[in-house]
Formats: sequence, structure tokens, C-alpha cells
Amino acid sequence: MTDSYDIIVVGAGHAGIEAALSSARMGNSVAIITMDTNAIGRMSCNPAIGGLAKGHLVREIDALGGEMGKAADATGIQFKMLNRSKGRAVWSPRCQSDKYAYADYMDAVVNSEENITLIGDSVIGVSVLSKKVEGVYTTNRGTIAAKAVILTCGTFLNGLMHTGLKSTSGGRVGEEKSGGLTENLTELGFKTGRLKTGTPPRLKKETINFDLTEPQYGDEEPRAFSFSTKNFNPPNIPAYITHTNEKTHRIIESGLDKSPMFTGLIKGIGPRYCPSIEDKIIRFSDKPSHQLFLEIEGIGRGDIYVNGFSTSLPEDVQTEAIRTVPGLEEVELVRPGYAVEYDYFPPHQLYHTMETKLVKSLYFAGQINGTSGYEEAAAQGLVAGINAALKLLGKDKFHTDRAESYIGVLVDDLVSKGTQEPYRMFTSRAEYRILLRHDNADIRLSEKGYNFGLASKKVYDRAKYKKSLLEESVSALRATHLSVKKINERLGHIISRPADKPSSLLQLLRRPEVKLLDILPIFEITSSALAKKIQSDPESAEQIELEVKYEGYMKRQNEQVARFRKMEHKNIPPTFDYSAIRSLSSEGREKLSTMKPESLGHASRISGITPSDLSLVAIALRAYDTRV
Amino acid sequence: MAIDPREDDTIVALSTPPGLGGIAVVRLSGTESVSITNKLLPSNKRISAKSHGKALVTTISDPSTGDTIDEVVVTFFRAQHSYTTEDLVEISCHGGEYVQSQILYLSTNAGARIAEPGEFTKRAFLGGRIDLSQAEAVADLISAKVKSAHRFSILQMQGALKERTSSLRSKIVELSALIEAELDFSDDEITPTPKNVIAEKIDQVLIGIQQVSGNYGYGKIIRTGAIVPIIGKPNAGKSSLLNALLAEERAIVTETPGTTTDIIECPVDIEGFLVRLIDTAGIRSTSESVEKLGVDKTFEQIRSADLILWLIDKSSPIEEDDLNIYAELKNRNYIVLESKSDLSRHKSFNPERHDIKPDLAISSQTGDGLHELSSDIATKLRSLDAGEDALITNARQAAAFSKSEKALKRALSSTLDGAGNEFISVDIRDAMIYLGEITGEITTDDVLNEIFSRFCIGK
Repeated sequence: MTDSYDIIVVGAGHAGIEAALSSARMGNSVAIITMDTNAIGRMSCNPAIGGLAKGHLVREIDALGGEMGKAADATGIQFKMLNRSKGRAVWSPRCQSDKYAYADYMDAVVNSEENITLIGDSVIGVSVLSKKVEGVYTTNRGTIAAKAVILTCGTFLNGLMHTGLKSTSGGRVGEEKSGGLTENLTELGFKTGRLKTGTPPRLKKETINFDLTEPQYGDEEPRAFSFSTKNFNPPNIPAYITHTNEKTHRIIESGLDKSPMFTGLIKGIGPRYCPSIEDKIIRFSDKPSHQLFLEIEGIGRGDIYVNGFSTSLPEDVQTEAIRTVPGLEEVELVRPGYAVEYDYFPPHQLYHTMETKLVKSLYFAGQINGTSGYEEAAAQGLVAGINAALKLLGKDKFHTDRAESYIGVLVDDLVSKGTQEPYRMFTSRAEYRILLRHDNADIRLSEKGYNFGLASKKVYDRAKYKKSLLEESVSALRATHLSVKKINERLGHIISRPADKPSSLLQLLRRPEVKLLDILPIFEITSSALAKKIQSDPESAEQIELEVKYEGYMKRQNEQVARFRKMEHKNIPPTFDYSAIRSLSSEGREKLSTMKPESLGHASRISGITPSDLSLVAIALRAYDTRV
Repeated sequence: MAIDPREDDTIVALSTPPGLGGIAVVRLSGTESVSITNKLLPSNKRISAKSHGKALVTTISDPSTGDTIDEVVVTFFRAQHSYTTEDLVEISCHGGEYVQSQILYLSTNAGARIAEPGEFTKRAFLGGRIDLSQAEAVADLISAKVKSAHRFSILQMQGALKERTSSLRSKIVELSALIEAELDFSDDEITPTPKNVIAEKIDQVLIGIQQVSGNYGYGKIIRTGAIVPIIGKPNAGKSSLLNALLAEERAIVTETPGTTTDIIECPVDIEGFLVRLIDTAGIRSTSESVEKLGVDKTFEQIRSADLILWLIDKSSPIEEDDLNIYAELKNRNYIVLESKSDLSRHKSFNPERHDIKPDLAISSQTGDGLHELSSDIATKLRSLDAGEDALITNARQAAAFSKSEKALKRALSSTLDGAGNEFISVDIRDAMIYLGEITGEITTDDVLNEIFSRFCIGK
């Protein structure tokens, strides 16, 4: 008799962890199958969590009840709110992590989860019957049965690592590739592509002269990722800044004939937002110098990550080049940087639940879908895990849309547009950016997380409280009116020009020079209880101020969202037959038939679909609804 | 990415065949149809969302200038009882193309969107108003209309407008990249662009957009002809001039009588321009109120004209009527004609005293000056061309440009107010989307592509 589980998760990276934890916590028996059961939650590239737009993803994962935010809070060694010089609406949290502690934390959480069984094996295929997944084939244990399978294989599918003209097969340094699975999925009808990513060399800490670099610390008042983290008091360990120079660049140029990228050895497409140092030097040849960040990989550990120096040049060229950098004259490498090529499955082959369109109950999450980044992977793992669990429970699917979360933007971009390069989240991808802030992730998502049984009641209650305090305060500020005399008396020293007509506190707060704290004493006279609540809750105070100051923009975005949602709610059944719509353009028919959009709104975001195609589909849908 | 059809917004379209036919009906459908219509009506003669099915006689005017466009009959149909099953307003106006396109244009400025071909029918269908068996017929109708519209749009898109719009849009994409890069990447990676540079760049795009949209009038002249009324007090020789010009130039059609008024419109071809000569002849009465109506009509013609031919009768004195007309002509495009050059000059005909300078002396009897008049008309019309190759020729394009312009103006003022990039970008994106509606380019990836090509990203 074969082993049997509700859900099998293949891989134990950032996507696999969230997929396994969420589905297990929702009551399913889950097996994680991974080649190395000691390699859980590894940070294979930079030792950091969050960053612009990525920080939003972490906050949202946390609000839904995922693990990443808590792990980052527990193991971060330096926290920083990015974009602090800009408006609060685009602030985003980031931390430097002790990557060893992070992996240990995740290892402990996964191992202590009762419903999870950890299996060390290599998956070489998925077992499918009548277009539904039945389990997986493994190298050592044969078939393992499951009602649902989530593949989170990262860069391991036919992984090929390059340093100079030397290439080794494997998914990460020191770890084997997984073979056979791509071929198996291709046979099932999946389309595959090849991508590339890279990582910088790691340096020996004791060979660096830090005196020649400039330390960069985190915030003095750090903010946690998780809505449930209390008494937050993390270390503040600096990164060190140094720079490349003309000498460095000349050495790199001299090694280009041995670069796997520039000699055409690497065929996969790499990310433009994270170029290798050789790329930067060629494409921006007028820049005499590039900034490098030396980042501690772990407290008490001897390896240093060189942020900004991703490369696949031969090891000797890497060493020679990096020794021209101030502070690194004597440096020794722990290991060289490398590029890795791997298979991915263009994600238009998925539904918004991350379930594949070809095989029922088979889910893909993380780098297998062509994304990059721990946060992007974790977000997809969570969506896949929750959906796999909900389906087994016979419940409605989990869908968060572009107007509700960055996770929604991520998933929708992937399934409706696919990706040609490793996909990373950017704030500019979110059309409703002003509404999707890191500070209100709990208000947006914790109700869903709570209903799944993942987010804690405390977090959900707090979100409800924040929301009602916000609404109450805004309407009370609107209702509190001040005479001209009172305004000038109380706020004369703050306002830029004296008042000439009576105003509400809300109107006064809208002036750029007036802060919530300035009007709170006046507010206290009429709404004493409310004012006290605001005073004791700086987080809410920030939100109220933001909401009032930018009410006009928020209102406009809310109107855009209402229009957007109307289209999103017009569902298209998966069995919908586009060939029956006579007047549809042939391009439209082909695209719609392959992409199987889930709603009219989703259809509108598929490239090549015209407004008249959409009108025709809308009409046919109406006819379909009436017939059914 | 395809353009969002925004099915819940308010749409507007001409529901009678375009052109000169008697009365035209402009329809608005959607939740905002009443409020949009009311923006164009005088405050004391507006429709109420309660007055289902009642017709109201009122006037449409341009809210920005206060100019009256037309006398109209407005009827409101409440959702559930209307054709589209949405709130629906029908505006019956006079059949001139100018009036129709003005009403469409003003409605879009007030928040409506020009309907897609067949969209009213589509909404009627979606609302369950039309029988299911008609579904396929509706689909074919839409596709047929789109095909012919498509052919037209290809012709137009190949032209300068697309190129110009595309280049304006790519300037906005560049601008957007500057703004977004600072939000997408940290200070460690990107050097911020100073606000005054951003403001300057917005201003440059604004100027470009204004150049194109400022030439909307000329585009319309090329496409549908120039409105050229002949005005002057009774007996100044308007009808004679009209007839003489028709004889002199190639008349395209014979007289097309108007429907509710006594306006006569005669299209002629003058040096390649379609010139729609309009005569207010026939308004002749001793009754004071009708006389006044005639004067009002004349003034209305002046306001909607591309070029005005003003006749002053050499054989009669300059009177108050003449001066009233002259006052109305200020800042407009006109030619002053001293008519009846074959007659002797009246002793009180003294235009110089009133600072009136006749451009040309003509005689419809002898044909004196008519040839010169034709060439003056062509010269004057040509002078309306702002030298912009890209021509906006329909109200839909004009609306897109106007919305894009408004969005950029908002972006400019928030930039100057020191607003954050995340807020400026809301309007910049809007401006980009509106221009994309003309060129069909809509994708947010453009912005990221621009960022990657401009900035050395990746610390």
C-alpha cells in the first residue's frame, strides 16, 4: 500500500513553506517532499526580507495568517522603512536577515506542525488520472498518493549553474538539480520556458577592511512586519557601503570573453531590475562607479554578501575585480558568484487559485511560475495552499483582486499576462497603489485570514478596531466646525494664512502645514473619548491623517475600483465555448480559448483582446446565463 | 491590454443618422445621464430624475463660455422603463452637424463617454430589454459596425494623428518612468528628479496636447466642412450674395431647407474647402417679436461659425443693427463686405466713423469682387490651421485629448504644490490611458521598460 496524504507540497523553499503551513493549519494532512530535509527556508540570494512593494507582500502574507513576517521579525538583524523621505502611502518595510537563523526558525515551525510530514526524496513526475492529479512519483519511495499536489520547485528544474565557461548541473550551490519533472509535465501538455538569475560572490568577513567602508544602520525605531509581533526589539547591525571604480570596470571588461552571458552560453532570460555587474558596466558605461553593499549573512558567521555585484564571470576574474574595491583589497571569496538557468512554466497556464488549467488539483507556486524573490514566492505558496485546502473542504475559492492587495496584482499579472523575464513586484504594477498600503494590509485582508483559520483573532479584532476608529474619527472631524475667530486663536501660529471663513477640523487638517497632533487638543473639547483613543494609538493616528490629507485621491481611486470590480464580478464559466460566438475576431477567439479568463475583467487584461471582442463575449455570456 | 469597456459609466451617442436630416436625437444612458445633461442646461430649466417620460423645452449651452448651442427638447426615461434599462436622456436638437457634435463634445466634457458602436443595443440586451432570439443579430450588428469603423480608423491612424498622439504618449511614458522610478526603487538606487524638472516636462507635453486639440476646429472643417453664415441686416443682400456665390462656385447640392427654422444651407466647393454657406434669409417681418427672433438666430449663427461673411449695405446708412452685429463679431473670424458696389453710396454710410473697415467691395448684380471673395474665404479658412499635421476629426478623439489635458493640468498643479510622486502619478497615468485610447496602446509594462532603459537599477 502506498503512502497517502491530502496534499503534497514539492519543495521546502519560501513558497513550499507557506503552502504547506496554510493547508496543514486548515486541517489537511500534508507531506512536504524535498531533496534535502535540512534545507528548509533557505535564502539562496540576498539575506533580506521585504523592500519596496515586496514589504507590502510580506505584510499581506502576515495579515492572511502566513509565516514569513513572523520569521522575519524573529530573525532580522536590521530593520528599515524604505521610502521614508516620500509620502506615507509608498513606505515599505525591509529587513536584513540572519539567513541561518531564518532557516532554523522555519525548520522549527514546519517540524512542529502536527499535520506536516517531511519526506526526503526527489519527485520525478506527477500521477494524473482523467485530468486530475492522483499523487507524485518519487525516486526512492515510488508513488505517493494525494488529493492535491503543489509544485514549488524553485530553480531546481533542470538547473544549470554557470561560473565563467564552466557549468554544473544543480539548483543551488552544493545542491542537486531535479530532473525528469519538466519532461513529465511537458508530456502532460504543459508549455515550458527557460529563465536565468544570478547571485554575487560571498566574501570572507575576516579578509575585509571595514574601515574603508561606510556603515549603514537601520531605523532607530524599527517597525515589525507582523501585525502580531509585540515588544519588538531587534538588533541594528549595519551593512557597509563601498564602490567600484574604473579599475574594477576594466578588469570586468577584460573578462567578458569568458562570460557565459556575453558569449551566448546562457540562453535563459535574466531580470533587468537585477542586472549583473558586467551588464551594468556595459549598459551604463558612462557611470564611473557603482555602489556595493556588504551585508552580514548571519550573526557570528564569517560570510558576507556583496549586494550589487551579481556575476557569472570566471572565479579568477571575480577575485581580481573585487580586490580593486576599497576595503576589499585583500579579500578572499567563500564562493564565487554564479548564474543559474532553470525551467519554468509560463503562468498563463494557471487559474487565479494557482491551480493548473490542464490538471485538476495540481498547483504551481513560486519560481516555477517565472517569478523571482522570496516574498513573491511565499505569496503564491500561500494562495495555492489556501486554495488547495478550500477545494478539499468543498468551500469557495480564495481570490484577492488587484484592488484589494499586491498579492492580487501579482497573481493576476502572472495568470493574465504571463512573464518573459523573472517577475518581480513593483509598486507601479499596482494601479490602486494609494489604497494598498502596508499600514492597512490587516484592514484589507485579516478578515479573510481569520475566516480561513489562519490569522489570529487578536489581529483580526485589532484590524476591525482600527477600521472603525478611522471611520468614526473622519466623520467626527468632518462634523466639528470652528468659527473664524476660534481658528485664528487656536491655530494662528500654525496656519500659513489666517482663516477668513469657518471650517471643519477636517478641512483644516487638509492644509499641508496642519498636523493631526495640532488639532487634537481642539478635537478633545468636543470628542474627548475619541481624541484620547487616537492619542494612545500612533498607528491609527497616522492612518487618519493620511486618509484626510489625501481624501480626494482616495475617493478617485475608490471610484476607479468600483468600476474595475463591476467587470471582475462578471464571471465566465470554464466550459464557456468561444467558438460559438460567430462574430469574434480570430485572434480574440484563439486567445480567449487558450487563456480561459475567469471574468470579463480578466479577459480585458489579456493582450490582443479588443473592446468589441469583450462586448461580444458579454452578450454571449448573457445568452449563456439565460439558457442555463 | 484591451481598453476597459467600463460598462457602468454613462455613454452618449447620436441615435439618428449623422448629417443634416431634420431633427437629431442625442441619447445618454447610465447612472449619470441626468446629472451630465443638467450641467448643460440653465439652472431654472433642468430635468428631474422624477419626471419620467416628460418632455422639457430648454436650451443647451457650453458651461465654460455660457454660449447657447441650441434650443432642445429633453426627455428623461427612468431605469427599468427605458430602452437600455438604465437612466436614459434623449436630447432632440436641430439637425445641423455642428450642433450635434457640440452636444456630444460637451456631454463628454461633463463626464459621458462616446458609446462604442452598438453599445446602446448591447446595454438593452444585457438589461434584458431585447429578446434572446435577437442576440446573434445584435452581435452581427456590432461586428459589422466595428468593421466599417475599423476601416475608417485604420485610414486615420495611418495618418499624422496616430504618430503625433503616439509621440505625445511616449513623452508621458518617459515622464511616468521618472516619477515611478523613485517609488519603485530606493534612494540608494535612484537619484530623484527635481520637482521643477518634472513640472517642466509636464508642461511640455501639455503644450503638445494643446497644439493638437486646438486644431480640432480645423480638423472638423476638413472633415465636415466650414460653417460660413452670411449675416447682415434685412436687405443687405444676403440672399443675392448666396445665389451669386452658388453661380460663381460649384454648388455641391441644391438648397437644403432646414426643418424648424428658415435657415438655408448651401454647400459649395471653394478651392477645395467644403464651405457650408448659411443664409438667414426669410426672416422678414414687421412684428417686433419675430424680428427679435431673427436677430437672435443671427447671433447664434455667429457663435457657431468658422468664418462669417458680414454684409454692410453701401446704399443705406450704418444703423444700430449694424453696430450690434459688429459688437458681436469681436474676436471672431470674419470678412466685412461692402455690398451693392454697383449702387451709389448713401450719404450716411460711414463705416470709418465706427471703426469698421470693409475688406472687399462686391456686387452680386455685376459679379464685381466675387472672385476675390472666394479666394479671401479660402485664405481665411487656411489661416485657421494651426500648422499641426495631426488632425482630430471626431468628438471621441477630441474628448480623449481634452481628458488627457485635464489630467495633466491636475498633475502639474499637484507637482507645483509639492505633492508626492504617488499622487502625481495617479493623474499622469490617467493622461496616458486617455491618449492610449486613440492609439490603442495600453500597457503598464511600457513604464517599467522605460525605467529599466533609463536607470541603472539593482544595487
